[in-house]
Amino acid sequence: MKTKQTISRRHFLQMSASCGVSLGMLAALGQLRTAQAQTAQNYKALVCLFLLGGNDGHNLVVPTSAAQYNAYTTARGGLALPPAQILGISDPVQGAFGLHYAMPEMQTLYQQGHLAIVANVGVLARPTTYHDYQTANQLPTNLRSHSDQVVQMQTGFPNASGATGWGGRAVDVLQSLNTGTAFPVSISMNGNAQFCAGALVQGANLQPGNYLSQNAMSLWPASAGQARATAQQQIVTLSGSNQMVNAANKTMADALQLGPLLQAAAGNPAFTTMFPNTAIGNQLKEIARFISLRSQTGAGRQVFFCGLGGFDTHSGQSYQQWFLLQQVSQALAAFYNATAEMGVANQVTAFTLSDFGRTLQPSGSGSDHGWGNHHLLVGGAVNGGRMYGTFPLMTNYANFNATHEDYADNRGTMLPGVSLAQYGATLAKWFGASDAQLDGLFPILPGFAVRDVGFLA
Amino acid sequence: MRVKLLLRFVLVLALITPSVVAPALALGQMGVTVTISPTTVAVPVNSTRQFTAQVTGTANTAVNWSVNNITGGNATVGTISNAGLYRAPVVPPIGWTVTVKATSVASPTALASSVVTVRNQIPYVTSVTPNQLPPGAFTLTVNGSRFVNGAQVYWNSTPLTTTFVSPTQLTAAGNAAQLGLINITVANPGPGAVSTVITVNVASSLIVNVTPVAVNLPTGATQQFQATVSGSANQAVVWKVNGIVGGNAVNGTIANNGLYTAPNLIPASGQATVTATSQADNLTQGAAAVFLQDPLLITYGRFLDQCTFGTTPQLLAHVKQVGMQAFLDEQFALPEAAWPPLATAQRSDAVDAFFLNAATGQDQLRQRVIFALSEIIVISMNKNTNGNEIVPWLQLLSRNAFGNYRTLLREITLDATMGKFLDLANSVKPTANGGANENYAREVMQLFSIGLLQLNLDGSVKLDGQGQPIPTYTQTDVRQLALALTGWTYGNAAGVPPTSGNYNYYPGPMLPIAARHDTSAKTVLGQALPANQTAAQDYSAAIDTIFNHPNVAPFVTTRLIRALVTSNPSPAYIARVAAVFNNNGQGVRGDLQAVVRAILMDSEARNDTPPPNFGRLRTPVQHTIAMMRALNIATGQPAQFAYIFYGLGEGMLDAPSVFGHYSPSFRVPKTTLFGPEFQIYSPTEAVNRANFLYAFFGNPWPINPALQPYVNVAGNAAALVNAVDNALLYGRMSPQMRSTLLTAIAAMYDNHQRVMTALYLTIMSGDYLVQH
Repeated sequence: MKTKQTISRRHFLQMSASCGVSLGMLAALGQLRTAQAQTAQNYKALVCLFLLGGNDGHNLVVPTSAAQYNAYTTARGGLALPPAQILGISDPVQGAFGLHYAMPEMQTLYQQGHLAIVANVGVLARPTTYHDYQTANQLPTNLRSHSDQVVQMQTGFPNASGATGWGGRAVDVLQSLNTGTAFPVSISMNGNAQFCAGALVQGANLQPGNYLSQNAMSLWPASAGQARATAQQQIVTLSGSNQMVNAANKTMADALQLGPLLQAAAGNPAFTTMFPNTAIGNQLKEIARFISLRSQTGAGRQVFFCGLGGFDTHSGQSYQQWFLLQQVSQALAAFYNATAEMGVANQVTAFTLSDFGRTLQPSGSGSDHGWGNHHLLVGGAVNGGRMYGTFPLMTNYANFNATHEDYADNRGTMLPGVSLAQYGATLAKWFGASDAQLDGLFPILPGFAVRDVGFLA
Repeated sequence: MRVKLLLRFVLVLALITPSVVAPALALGQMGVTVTISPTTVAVPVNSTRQFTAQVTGTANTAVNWSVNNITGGNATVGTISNAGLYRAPVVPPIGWTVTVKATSVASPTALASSVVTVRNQIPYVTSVTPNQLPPGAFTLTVNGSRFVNGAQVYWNSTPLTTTFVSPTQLTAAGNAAQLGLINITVANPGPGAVSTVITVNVASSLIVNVTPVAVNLPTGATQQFQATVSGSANQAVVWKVNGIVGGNAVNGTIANNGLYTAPNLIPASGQATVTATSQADNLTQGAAAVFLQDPLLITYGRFLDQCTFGTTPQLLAHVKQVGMQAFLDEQFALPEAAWPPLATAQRSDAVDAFFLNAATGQDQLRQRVIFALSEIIVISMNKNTNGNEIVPWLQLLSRNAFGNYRTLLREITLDATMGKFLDLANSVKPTANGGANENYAREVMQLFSIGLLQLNLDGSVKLDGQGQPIPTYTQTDVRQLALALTGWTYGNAAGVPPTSGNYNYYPGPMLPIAARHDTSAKTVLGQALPANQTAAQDYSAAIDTIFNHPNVAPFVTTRLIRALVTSNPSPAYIARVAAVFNNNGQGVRGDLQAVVRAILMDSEARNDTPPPNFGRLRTPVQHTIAMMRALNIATGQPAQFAYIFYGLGEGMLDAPSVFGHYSPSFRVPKTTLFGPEFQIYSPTEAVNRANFLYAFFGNPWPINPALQPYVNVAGNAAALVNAVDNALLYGRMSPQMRSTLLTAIAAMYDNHQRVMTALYLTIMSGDYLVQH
């Protein structure tokens, strides 16, 4: 029986590779050939789009079969999307769903097979049952705390520590493919992001169109400007006794190194796809531009981080989430189109992360912090038009327990069925990390039987 | 009507009557007048000048021209034609002036006159030999043209004994008693006949070298100078300070052997010049610059960096005079700076006030604490979109900055702005359709009071028997606290107890609605709240429970220390301040005034030679304001550049989330050091910050007038660097950085660029970026 009713979230988490053919394994077997073929190509990029604040996944993907939709409207009350605001899609196994009406571009990509949904992803320390949650047995620390969950999502560690991010570590282990470049290979377009920090690779925080030119160095005569620049270079590389002073100088020294690389790479993008003029649109456009420069920069593997804030919708959610998801949908679609135009769609995979999911049950006009959440993946290598992971049954919300462990509590917090480590490892494997490297990237991965969720070909 | 018209007519007459009077012209019979032009003029000898005369009041406009009353003039006074063309005599007249007069033919009593100065021609000087000469007696030969017998040669402004050789040559003798360039001019006799300047250089064959050539000295300290005289066997020199032999008490004294003693008070110029004059010629000298430094500058500069938005010369002098404790007393007693009126406040008004009070408010310490609190207890314009909700929030922080943390917690909980930001406003007891809003309940514990993990007094994490951290609260605590805080809605102007949810209202606190409050029994952080309490009772008991949690002292004091003094306080420092938080000495818990004083006066803060991990990165706003204050740069309207701070990671009052602009636990990349503010100082943000600050220097073009004092000393690169060091780094600039700056300054083409180079490189150096 491989129907949606019998594949519980627990099975997904605990099923071992030898115990039959799961949804994930079917895809994992199928992807092997293409994965090998693609290693012949020289470049791959992972693009993380972080929905800051905790996107309400319950309204990102909505079940539309009658029983599930009824349970959804009952649970969500005023937050429930009416049928007219749901863009229908279907999964060959799990049935009929719909996307939020702000995302018609994502509906199109899903139908074209370039977008996949992974249901109920969350940070876990180990395969975790309802009983584990109720007894607080080896849970990630500080669940529902923004700051901690953001860090855990980005570091891949289920406790709020760890100085490196799994994006940075993924480029670390593939450093041999980046020996030919001095260009940043781990770039955040949204401020400091732990995701990008590696042990070897330092994350670079960049802004669209900003190539680190100092106005003070544009000075007549040129020799005077040069003298100023030389002096600055000397000053910021002085090694004094105060570590904080040295750290501040180091930042400017890094800028002096990075600026010329960016300026040399500045210029018109190698694509004509129009991007929406939004914050996230501009971030993704600049990422596409950096990707277009891959042969010039010599980068073989790059990770990018971009972000959009405002998803912490404790109130006023209906408008706010529409407003934000619309920007996400338009920007992601433009990004996919640009990579297709450049012929690198199969080498670039974009995916969402978010602090956490939210409660199914509303409070006022919003929802509260939850745990598991649904995520989107876009790219030519994505086995799209499919949903991975088991979508929790809304009908179990009123009756959550050890048998129906879709939910962890009476407010509709989803108990994650796919751990972040599995989600990230699937991406990192496609990126080129070996099995042993995956265990290094996500030290808790060996605790999970399924190492590849299967959404990448 | 008639009366009015008549009156108007009289007024018009009165207005036009004065215009009939026309002075400065001669009246003849029946109103005939003559005017002459020009009325005064200088004419070189044997040159011509055209005069004109205008006659009015008669049809006959003819005039007779005369010079010194001689019609047509003559060779002595000059001639004038019937058409008024005057030709000056070949030899200047006695007294240098003549009078040219035009007399009406029709009315001879009507006339006008002009005073004409007849001067010698201006001499030309083409060369002076020698143009390079040693000190002592000399004779110069001056070559040129148009010299007149009696011409005088000047040595700067001193006349030399001059001999007229020919109209093209003079000789002049004198004694050169000073070195350097001398202006030579030649004046023909009479007025207005001075040549342009030609220079000669008086140079010695001797050279006096003084070492060291520049030195930084604390007040009262001594420095031995050496002088060597090359070009003479006579090595004897006379030592002077600022041109005075032996110096004086104001600028320092110097002994015959070159031992300089700095004055006890720094003179206004901040520096003194030591010279050694060779006794071989009594003229040639070598010089050295002495930059005087206050040894306490570091002490007071560091203190003010921690408790204000930046030093000013005035503030430094004041603290030095009254002492640190008394300064804190003054600051605690000062009235709050004003905030914009609530009713009309726009977003830009709130931003302006936030920035301007910090930059220019007298209550500097209060502003600094407001700023610190604003990063601990965060609201944000991204949700609190209107000025009229930001201003009351700023007032709340201002009012409570030196108050009690319990009061602060109570006020923020019921504050309407916070109520909107974290959704406590209109959070109602659970219904079939929803639960109590957990947003505020979580953040008040996680961010505003106790944090996630149980702490020891010294801020270290408590561990359980298995060596694991112990959470301070559970999700159940969040839920229970959320229930305890249900039932509050916005207030209203009349203060009428609401019966249903009110619309947004910010001037006053939120008010309870009994029917919306959950009355079940709750337990928050182990404290039982019995059933059937009112919203106010549950609120009061819950907030007091939080306030009395042992974590509050180490949690809050660690954040305040990081905001004011250092990112990496020692556990002992935290413990000392946390103890004051727990008890201010009079049994009061949460006394912020006592806590702030304890933070600032702690031995770890006051150690002027701190350990290597000491200090904190200035935020963009703090960096900008500190620079403005130190350099006396006017702020203008901050709302006009506030948008730039977004690119620096610190949109004012507009943090991306309740976590503020940076995490208090952020670590400097690839180190174990805490450095919260480094989270918004990436290479991109560093360059953005540099470009933003640089723009202040050249605005308005070519240089901000506030920087004129630096321009004034920029001719001397060492003096410029010293002034910048004193103003920004309190004299702590390293020798390497000083030498780097001097090299860069030497490559600049003018004083403006020298100043901008020194300032730019210094403000963007780690030594200035990090308050330490």
